[in-house]
Amino acid sequence: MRGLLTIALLLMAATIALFAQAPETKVSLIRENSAAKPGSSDTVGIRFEIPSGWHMYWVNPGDAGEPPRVQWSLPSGWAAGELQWPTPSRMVNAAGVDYGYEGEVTLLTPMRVGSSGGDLTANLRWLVCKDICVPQKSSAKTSIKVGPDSVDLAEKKAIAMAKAKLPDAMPASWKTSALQNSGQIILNFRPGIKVQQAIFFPADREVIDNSSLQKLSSMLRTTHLTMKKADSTTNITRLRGVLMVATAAGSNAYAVDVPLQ
Amino acid sequence: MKRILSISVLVLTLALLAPAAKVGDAAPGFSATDSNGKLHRLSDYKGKFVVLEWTNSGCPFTRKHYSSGNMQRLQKEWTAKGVVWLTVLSSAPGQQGYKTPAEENDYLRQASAAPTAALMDPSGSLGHLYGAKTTPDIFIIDPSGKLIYDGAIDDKPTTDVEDVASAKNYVNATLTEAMAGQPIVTANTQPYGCSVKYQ
Repeated sequence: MRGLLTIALLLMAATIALFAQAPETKVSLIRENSAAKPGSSDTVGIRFEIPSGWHMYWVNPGDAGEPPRVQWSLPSGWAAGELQWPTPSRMVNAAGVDYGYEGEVTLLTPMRVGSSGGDLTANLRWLVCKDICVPQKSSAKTSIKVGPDSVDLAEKKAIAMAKAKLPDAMPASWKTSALQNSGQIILNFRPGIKVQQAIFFPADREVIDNSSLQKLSSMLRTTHLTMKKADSTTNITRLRGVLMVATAAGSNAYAVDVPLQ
Repeated sequence: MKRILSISVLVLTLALLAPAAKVGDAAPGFSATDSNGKLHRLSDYKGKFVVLEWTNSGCPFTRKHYSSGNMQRLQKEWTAKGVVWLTVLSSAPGQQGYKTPAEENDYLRQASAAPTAALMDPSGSLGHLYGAKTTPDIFIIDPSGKLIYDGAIDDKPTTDVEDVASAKNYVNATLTEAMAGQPIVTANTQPYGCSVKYQ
């Protein structure tokens, strides 16, 4: 009896210790259009409120870390698309460079609306780190009511704000292309204006060396960003990621997805 | 003590001047002290395979491999075949994963770990010499002293214990191929884990 009590107390202490290592990350679901009709499209946002001083990771976490993952449990007729990731921050530490988020991040998921009501549940796992890393998990859900009269305006606004944090489409007029040689990947684009600063965030691991300086060469006609390949690249045929560009007009992020010649 | 200090300074200087280790090249020479105060030089192990395994017992990626018994199994299996397995602690004092020699010996006992030795690298000089980025991070050196593998322990870069069984383990693959005289199919991968807690 005393042995069982000791084990129970030890387990409790261990559980408390584990939770004491990282404050709770609040997770919630928000919908763009709670009045969406069956068969139409909607967007569901997974909002993470990351504890102060901690961070989470992008689809490519960089040199260390792990991206959040979702497994949806949907009412009948609903279908979920791929996660859409807001533009990340670059996080530098003594061991390397990572990509991720601090504060608040909302990952967006395009949805096809079904005819059934019920619970829409996101079963989530993610890694939250400060100087230590703690895996966390939780389920966030929202109830779907069939045929509600009105849209939740607060949630609609929150989705719009989250969409604004997604990278923009790359303008076709920029004629973006990418080349590779044995040690480098060169991204070429023509914004028609001098680029003061550019940073490329690779969406795939084992493409570029995250710690190496990216060399910018910007003339009026064309801009080149030269990046060192990762040591462990194999046969890469496509360059995908986010390009942040700063010009006299301001700074913006663009989604890149081009063949690598 | 003074000799160890001057060797550490030399290693640190070399680490700052030289680029990190490259697969296919001679593995960078080093000397480091283990958790029993014994000095190990890479040159002591010429003629043997050497595995360097960067570790941090609090990191969830490291714990994936230790709580499942995977790392201990690898250590036992390969040291039984004559491989020298050196687990390396490059966490700075005060950082997660840092241990005093006595604490490391306690940990090795509790975890039933079976490395040849645990190298204490709190200054991070050995980590920087090899370019260790994460825990775990694996480097494998052949009997001629050539670096033949650099990267992840396996091909599932997650914290999920369930992924250990189904993952392709690069330590097993590299050592099996090398011992059979075959070319190494995958010699360089991106390591995954927590960042090494350097100073």
